[in-house]
Amino acid sequence: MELIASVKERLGVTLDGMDILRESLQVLAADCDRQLGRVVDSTAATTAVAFQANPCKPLFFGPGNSLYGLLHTPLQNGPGRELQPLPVLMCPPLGQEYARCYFLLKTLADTLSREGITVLRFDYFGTGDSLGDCRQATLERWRADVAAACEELKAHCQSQRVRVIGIRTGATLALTGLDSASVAQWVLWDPVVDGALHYRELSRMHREKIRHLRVIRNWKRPRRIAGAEELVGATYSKTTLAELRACSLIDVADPDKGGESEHRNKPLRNADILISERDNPQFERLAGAVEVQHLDVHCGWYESFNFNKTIIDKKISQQLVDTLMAFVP
Amino acid sequence: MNEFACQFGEQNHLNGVFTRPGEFTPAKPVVVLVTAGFTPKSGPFRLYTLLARTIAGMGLAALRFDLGGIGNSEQIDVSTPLKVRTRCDINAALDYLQGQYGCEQFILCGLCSGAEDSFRYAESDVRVKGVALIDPHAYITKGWHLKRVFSRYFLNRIINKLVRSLGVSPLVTAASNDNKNQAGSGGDLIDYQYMEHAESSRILCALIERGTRLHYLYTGGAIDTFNHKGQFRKMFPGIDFKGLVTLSHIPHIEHTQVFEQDRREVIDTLSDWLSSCFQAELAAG
Repeated sequence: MELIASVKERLGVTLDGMDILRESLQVLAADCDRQLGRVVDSTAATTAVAFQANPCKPLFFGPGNSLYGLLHTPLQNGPGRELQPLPVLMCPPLGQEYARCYFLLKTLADTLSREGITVLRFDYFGTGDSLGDCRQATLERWRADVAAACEELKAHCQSQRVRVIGIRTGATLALTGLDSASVAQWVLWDPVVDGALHYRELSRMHREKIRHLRVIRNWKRPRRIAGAEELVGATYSKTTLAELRACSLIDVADPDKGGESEHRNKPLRNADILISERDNPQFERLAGAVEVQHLDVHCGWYESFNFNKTIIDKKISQQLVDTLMAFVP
Repeated sequence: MNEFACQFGEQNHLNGVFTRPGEFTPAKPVVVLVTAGFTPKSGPFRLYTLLARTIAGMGLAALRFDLGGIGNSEQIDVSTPLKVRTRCDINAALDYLQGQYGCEQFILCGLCSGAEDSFRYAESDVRVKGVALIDPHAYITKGWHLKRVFSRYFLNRIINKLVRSLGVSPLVTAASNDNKNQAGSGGDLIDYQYMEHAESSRILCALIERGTRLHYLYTGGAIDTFNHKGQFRKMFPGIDFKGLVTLSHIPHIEHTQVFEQDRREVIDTLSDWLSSCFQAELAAG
């Protein structure tokens, strides 16, 4: 967006977001020249650029080969980086939050593989390209998916331990679903701290969407689904939502509050926790319990969603890469 | 139904998921789903995943894949303009299905930019026997202006404004009003420019001439350019559709359907079109 605004201000030329993300600078420059009425050097615009595709390998794995994953392996003839011993498991968010950061997670995985790190990304059961329907899944199933992905990565890399990047609900699922002995480093980006608050916010967003669409829908509300509830484009079972509401990272972080929690010994206190915004009350609660790093980037997780709201800020991916690269096993 | 992860194209730069029915026959056409805008191959709110599985339930195979630079596919030869690369990517998908499985007939389907990419590609490849377009190009006509004034939608907007002015149920909350000027998520990233009328008319004529079956599906999300069924004929005056072009208008659903019942309506509409227009092919094998 900054680039679009800057080019518009300086040159008076409008570039399209789709082009910015998918065209090369060479093609964009030629487009600017065309819009400014300048002669375009056609030979420059059509010069082929040698490119080596990143060997990101898709696979189905896990129970009944039901999980879709992408393994980013370091390039054999990479830019002279040493192969890093500990691979990275990426645990994505759920629903609209995954769509918001999909591009960023893919580019992050590419960056890490160029740094010599093997990365596994995957979709939980009933989400993305994995098998099943979201409403068939439970939090327990998704925790098992995280564990299956961890085993898949360990087996592929012949490594005893992995590093975990957990984002939003993915952070919560990883913390409560993985055996800490398998994890050498935890990096959590905006973890869902309070499941009940998270559910309320998603419900609010969904109600807002219904209100927003009432004009084209002739005031008809979408049909209710027996035993399930829709939240911004994903349908969850009532059981899953009850489990989600009961999740609390505060309890995990605080040994006094977590006395009854089965996850009290999980290593939240040793995790690198990256928080995008300072003024979010949910994260303030977490900041009081454990040490966090502030990114000072606006992600707008609970703001109205459409598929153009992609998080593209490099500050986030750079901070995640720096945190992983700074780790000494 | 079985799903397979696949890679194809130059240096395997494209990623896809091939959904096959229990009994797969290469003689039947394969539906190829082309990514919409910046959304990965599972589609907005998993529309493509669910569509592919429904199609497989009907007995046809479906491939959903990411165009280069979208989802998990890599951009290759980035000095080539986007339209040319897109054409090469779709061609690579069809070549892969033909080379790997012996499939020779294809039906392309896409939403928004995916619809137009499919339509544009179909012109150059005789293997494409059908194209389903969800919210593609539309052009304002006199009828559109009339319908805009004398419609339930117009009345709804007035009622809605009244409701808002009374403060009964504010549509926009503080949380949803600050989507612009964000450092991280930004405002709307994509302001997609639809195909010019001259180009769409030319391609439409060429496809009809070749006997390609086309289905246009417009949602309520297209209301700024398309608001009633009769408009379609007026958009392309002088073109004989020869019974090959069909149309659905679902004005009460949005462009990317957030509600499950809306996604189901889109899927059912496209399934109906496939089963009515490709009856012989479905029965083949």
